[in-house]
Amino acid sequence: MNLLHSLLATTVRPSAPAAVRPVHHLNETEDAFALTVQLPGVARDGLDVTVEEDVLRVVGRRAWTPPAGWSALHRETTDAPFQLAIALGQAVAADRIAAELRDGVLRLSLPKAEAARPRRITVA
Amino acid sequence: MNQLRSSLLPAWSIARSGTRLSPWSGLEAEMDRLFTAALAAEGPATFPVDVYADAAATHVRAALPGCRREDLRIELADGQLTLSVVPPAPAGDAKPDPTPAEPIALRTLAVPEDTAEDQVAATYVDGILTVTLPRRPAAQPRRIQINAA
Repeated sequence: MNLLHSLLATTVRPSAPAAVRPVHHLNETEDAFALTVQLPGVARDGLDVTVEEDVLRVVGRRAWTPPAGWSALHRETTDAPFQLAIALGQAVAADRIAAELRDGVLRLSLPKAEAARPRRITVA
Repeated sequence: MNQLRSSLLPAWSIARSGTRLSPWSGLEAEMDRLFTAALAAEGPATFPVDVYADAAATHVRAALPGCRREDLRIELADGQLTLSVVPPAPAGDAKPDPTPAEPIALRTLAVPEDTAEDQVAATYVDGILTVTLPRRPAAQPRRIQINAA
């Protein structure tokens, strides 16, 4: 849990103010962290997931624009892109991160680096 | 703001992002989280909805990421459009008369009176449910002949 807290606490704020932080959940298992990010309206083309200098960045752009002739009567969502940045530190094996986007939900599997895994020590 | 509030981050990180400048923002955010959490337990969640109109129809776009198509319910009755997400009852609940499953998310919107209820269509793409509510063509005035007495 300490690792989880440190991951959350070091979350980097998005650099552009014209972006929204998506709803996201982080779960931890023995081998990996599972990050679920809600990105309604984001297709695969509009999604960028990058890891640079131990920071995981998720950028999701909403490609949909109202067709000609449509006028907005009531808006509760924004057209601003989603942005999420999470500092991974040394806890995650960045080269083994797997991502899946389905129905506006991005599921990221962040396998733990060997050094961050719990180790059982045999008592002689 | 809802997106920020509903994140799992501690409240101070919201304050630090500069969107709330009050010195009490941390406390306010914690109170909001407390009330949101307490009230959320009472009923189905809500979700953001956009409404558009063109010459022929009204279009409702609801952000419902990660839903199974079979769990999405769209009902139109008495000029009210109800969108809900109803997950199936847990497996093993094979009682002869199972209680109806409760929605986990629900919104009700008023729709125009001239909606052609039999032509409502819906799509679900990238976590956005779009419901198209076509309008009935305007009633043509009918000329009534006066019969000679």
